[in-house]
Amino acid sequence: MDWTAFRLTLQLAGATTLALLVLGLPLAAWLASTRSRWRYLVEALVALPLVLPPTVLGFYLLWGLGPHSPLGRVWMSLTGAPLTFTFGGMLVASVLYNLPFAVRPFTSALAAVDRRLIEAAWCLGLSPVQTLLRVTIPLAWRGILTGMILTFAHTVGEFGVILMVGGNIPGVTRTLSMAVYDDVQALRYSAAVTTSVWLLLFALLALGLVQTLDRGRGGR
Amino acid sequence: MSIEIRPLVWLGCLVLACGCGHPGPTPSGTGPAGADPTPANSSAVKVLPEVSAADSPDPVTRPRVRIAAASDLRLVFPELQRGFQTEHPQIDLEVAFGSSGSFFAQFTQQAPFDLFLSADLDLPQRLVDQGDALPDSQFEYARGNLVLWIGSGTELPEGGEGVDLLQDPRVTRIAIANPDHAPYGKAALAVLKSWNIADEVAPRLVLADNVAQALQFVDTGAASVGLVSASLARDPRLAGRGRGLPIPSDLHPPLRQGGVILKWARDPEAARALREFLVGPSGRDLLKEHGFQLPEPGP
Repeated sequence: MDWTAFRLTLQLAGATTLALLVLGLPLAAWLASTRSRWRYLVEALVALPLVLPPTVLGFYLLWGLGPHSPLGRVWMSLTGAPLTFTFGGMLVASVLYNLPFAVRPFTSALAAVDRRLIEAAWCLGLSPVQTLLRVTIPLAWRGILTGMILTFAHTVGEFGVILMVGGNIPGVTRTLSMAVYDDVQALRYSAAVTTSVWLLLFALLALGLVQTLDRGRGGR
Repeated sequence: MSIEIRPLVWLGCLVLACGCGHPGPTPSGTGPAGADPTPANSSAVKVLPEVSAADSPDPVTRPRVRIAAASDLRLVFPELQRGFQTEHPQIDLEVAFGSSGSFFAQFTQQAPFDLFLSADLDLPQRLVDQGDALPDSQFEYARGNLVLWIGSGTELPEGGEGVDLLQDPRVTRIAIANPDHAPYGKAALAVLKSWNIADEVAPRLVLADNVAQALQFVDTGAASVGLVSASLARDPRLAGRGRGLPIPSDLHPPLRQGGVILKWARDPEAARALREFLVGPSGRDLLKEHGFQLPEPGP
């Protein structure tokens, strides 16, 4: 097992999950409650990574974040280094690519919360933030946790986007799924087998957790 | 209740595991500062090694050369690294392998490497021409050879000519590196053209991302044979898993392999030291042992 890649994978998956919790929850809360006609467009954009080839997203990001693009130039002038082939670049790619895995479970969980309870909370004098923390989230936590687990697990397994934006640099951007690809190319089959078995077990564990959460939802 | 608690406990473990990974320098010493969520600030890093390398043994500021190497160097590189580090124990090396063309594409986006070891001379020259590499830093370090690697699962007559073997109906898939961006793929295609069978075998070609993957396609049985680099086919792990048939080097343009130091190299002096090692006697000996031919010694 490549422990550098292991640590990097956990960092990327953890950072992606946290970023999507912070960015995705407000978006999901808006999607769950809005009657705006833009809602369907936003929903479609959120779902896009489900069907868009990872290489297409990777290609756009490579040019969009690279040192020759306007955004890349701004980043370069701020930090002195390009965003592509760094942890930051991978994180941006990862957040975009995992948008549906977080926002969709969040949205359906928030939408399933009984509107009357939220309005009752308002009538009893709770602020919107207090309502969110004390009523909505306690009722929707299973869906939120499901979204977080799916995001984490999906980031661990990500390959195409990461390979294009990250470039498979050892210690910087080489995650576990890329280590498997690399080990197979180098004919290090036993290393590839070890890593693959752990990734398989992890994927099963993540899906088991999601199913446990899902089953519990009905029994409440 | 226990069912409700369990997922939380697991999530807690995951969060803890991530949290533990974050702080401080990486314990194994192989990961550069880029593992930190904030991308490595190269303008700061560039200054550090020059200032402090001489007086500080701190592993974080040790001179380090990040190498993007053509994948035909996969087998010889660990030995080159060992040889280099007995001469320069203070310099760390960090290598990634891939096809020369895909590295070239990454360099146009300023991929963070210091030294590029290509499998041709053209790409290093183009990097110099377009200002992405240090002027006059290019060098030639080896000449590659091709072999026709025949997987042990493929029954073919012993001692046949390569051109006949490839036309054998039992050869269902021929692996080569992608000629679009891998010099060994270009050379393999040139061999097929010299044999006048390029069109005939085209439907049976499988294109690998780089030459090491072409060999792996054969070794896993996905392809029957492959046109791969002689340096990789000497892998002791392949003993008993196939045989290699040398391809005469006059069938393709010479695989002259060159390198270059990139413009954004953090420590150009360390990169130059590695360049001198590669073209010097110890580097040449190791390359020769691994099936490479050598360019004429430089002045």
